[in-house]
Amino acid sequence: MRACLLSLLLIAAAPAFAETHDHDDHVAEAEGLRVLHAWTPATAKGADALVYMEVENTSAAEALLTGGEADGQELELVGFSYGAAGEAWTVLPGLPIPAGADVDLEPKVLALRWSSVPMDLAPGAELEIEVEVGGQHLPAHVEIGEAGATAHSHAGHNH
Amino acid sequence: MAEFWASLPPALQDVLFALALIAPGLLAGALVLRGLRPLPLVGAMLRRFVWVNTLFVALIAVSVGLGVGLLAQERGLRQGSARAAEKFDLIVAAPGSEVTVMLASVYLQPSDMALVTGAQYAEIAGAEGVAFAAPIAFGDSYQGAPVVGTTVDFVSHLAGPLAEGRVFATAEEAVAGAYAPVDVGGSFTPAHGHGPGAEGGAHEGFAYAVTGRMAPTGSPWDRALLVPVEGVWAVHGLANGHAPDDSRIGPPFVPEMMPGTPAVLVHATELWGNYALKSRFTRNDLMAFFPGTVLAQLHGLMRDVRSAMSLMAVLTQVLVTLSVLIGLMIMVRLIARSLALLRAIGAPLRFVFAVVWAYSAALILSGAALGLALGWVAARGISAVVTARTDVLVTANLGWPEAHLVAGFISLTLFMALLPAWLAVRRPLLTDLRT
Amino acid sequence: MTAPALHVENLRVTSREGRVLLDVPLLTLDAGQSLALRGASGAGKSTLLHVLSGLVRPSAGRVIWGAQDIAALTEDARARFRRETLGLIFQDCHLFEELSALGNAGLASAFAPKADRAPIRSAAAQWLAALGLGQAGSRAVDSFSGGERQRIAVARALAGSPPVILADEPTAALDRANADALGADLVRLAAEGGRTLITVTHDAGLAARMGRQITIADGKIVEDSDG
Repeated sequence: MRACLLSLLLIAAAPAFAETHDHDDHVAEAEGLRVLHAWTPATAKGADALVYMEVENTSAAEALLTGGEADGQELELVGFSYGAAGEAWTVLPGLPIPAGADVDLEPKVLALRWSSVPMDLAPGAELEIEVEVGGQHLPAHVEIGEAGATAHSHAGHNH
Repeated sequence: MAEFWASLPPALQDVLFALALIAPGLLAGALVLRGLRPLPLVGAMLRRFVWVNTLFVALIAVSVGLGVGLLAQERGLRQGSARAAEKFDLIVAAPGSEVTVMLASVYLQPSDMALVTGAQYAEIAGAEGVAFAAPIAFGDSYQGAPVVGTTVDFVSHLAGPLAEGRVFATAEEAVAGAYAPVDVGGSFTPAHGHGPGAEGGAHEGFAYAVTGRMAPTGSPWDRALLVPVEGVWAVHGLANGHAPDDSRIGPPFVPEMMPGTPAVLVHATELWGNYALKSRFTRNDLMAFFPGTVLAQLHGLMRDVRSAMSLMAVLTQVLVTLSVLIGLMIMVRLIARSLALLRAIGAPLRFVFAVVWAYSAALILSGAALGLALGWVAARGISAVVTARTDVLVTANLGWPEAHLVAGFISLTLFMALLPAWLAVRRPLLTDLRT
Repeated sequence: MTAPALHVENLRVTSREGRVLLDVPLLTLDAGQSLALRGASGAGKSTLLHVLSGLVRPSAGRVIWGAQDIAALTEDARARFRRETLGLIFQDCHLFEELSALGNAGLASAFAPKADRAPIRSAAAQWLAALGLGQAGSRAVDSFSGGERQRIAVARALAGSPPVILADEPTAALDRANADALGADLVRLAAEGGRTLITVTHDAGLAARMGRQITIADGKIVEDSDG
């Protein structure tokens, strides 16, 4: 049952937030905060998924990006580091985005981590998440790319 | 199952994987040898053809050693270069190639670069969450060692407390890297540029006195001579970043009096600060990046090369396994007469089978063990050479990937050794007895 | 174990090309008898010995030791028969050069059932002593003379306490004195144990020590006489 609901969720876009969407459905916006180009590489069930995006703060106040939610589970804000011990992602308490600034969550820098995903995230499918920024829960539409992808399929595309 | 596997600690996964790899070979051995004791005879046969057996063991050892050495060395290089970059949290430079700036600032392989201006530096250094912003001004050298202009903060950040002496206090003093060519108390005149084209006399009449020496960092900075950035500006005839009557060194600098710096190392007060600062200074007139990210991407790109190397190592093992198999079949002919005698005086076929298998297993296991040792020695040797040439401390040790390679090799060859054993018991008894 | 009697009937061994190598309609031997197989080279005497030991399976016929037709056994069963019933001695002694005299004499302990291992090893030591090599058990066999090496092979054949000894030209590689001594020992030790002894030999001296002599020519028994 749960799997069926998830599949429906994956297939459906987010019509409830259509009025806040830009001309494209991979942009979500609320009160001057925008999430663009959210994407994640295909991930097998049980593994950790890393979700990347751009977050814009066009409001007049600093906004704190703290994490998110997917399928009722927490998405942690994590920062990348690399050393002799190899690659590591560390949980960050939050990332302030100054007024008028934007931040890129990109591979090997920053991401929202969904630990132990409850189902396979298959390439080509889509996913709905909420991004917690500036005290708001911003819905975002996540495209699932190929496993091991290093950039969004719209990389370089400007909205 | 996949979820359960993913939930196990990595170390346990490695152990279990190694056990799973070696299990088929050991299981085959346990079944073959159950209730028999062929070892005294096997020992006699090994001694009988000691040179052939030694050659055989050497062949296996060299092949295993190559595979093991290759894998360990590659990982050692990757870890060494990553360790060297660990202290370089966030680099801000003029827009350009991140790789070029990383090579110049982390690995001290300088190239011509646009400069971060005094105003930009002041903005970076004054940004919220910045613990310190250290200029990294390279370009000069002394006897092949890079001379780099920076600040006291950077020296302590890079290497911790000095191993000897004190940090520089004036624009004419310097701190030597752990293996730099000038001792504490000595002095040097930098050459303009680096490498064979460095102009030795360009800074004639100017000398730095070395007041301290850093502890080793395992990076090319161990060979460097660190000087106050004001000194670098001064020897090039530029303003020194401070008002004319101000002789102190270090930040804050007067933006108008600061000639600029190729790169700035930024260290944030908070863990998240680096990420916020990276976002903040990624803009049209500046470039901010984590060397760790660039290095991880480069190593990621090289993953294909690594895969090719691993594949080559495995292929070599497979080829050697085949050679071992063919060799064992030839060896069986050498011991055929002894085997025929055993059969003639009533040894069961299973015993003769066990003798041949145990004989092969003895060669394979000795070769694999010797190969591990050989691979370790080779990796250490090559590491020492690479460290000497690049100043990046490379320590290659045997790890789980090598254990898995050897476990897989042993298992496969022990399994394949069943074939010559089977062929041996099918040989014509009387013909072999008469040879 | 008491020695089994031998009963061979309608025995034929043919080569792959169909040539008859051995044709023995009937051959019997009482338990504890000694028999010399004589004949020119290529006559078929060694082939007969190999058939009797189960090393060669006949093309036709029965080879019955006691109540067991070894021609009908599988290879492993024939090996077991050899292990339990026969002591084999070869012209070339076939020793493991890297093992000691005792290691060679007790070779069968390597593959014998667990309960038999210790008795085989102690019997090997006793036979070596009985054959005059008691002090040299720990020496590597490559340091022994030809006569001594064949004695080690005899000790090996006797170590499993077999009721039957089959020997193929046991004295052929030895000088006269050694051949006579070994032949005398072989016959004496077989007789003492009530063992059946069959030996292929060109050595008239050794043949004369046997209770019965059979001459083979072109694969057939042409003469059968008591010694």
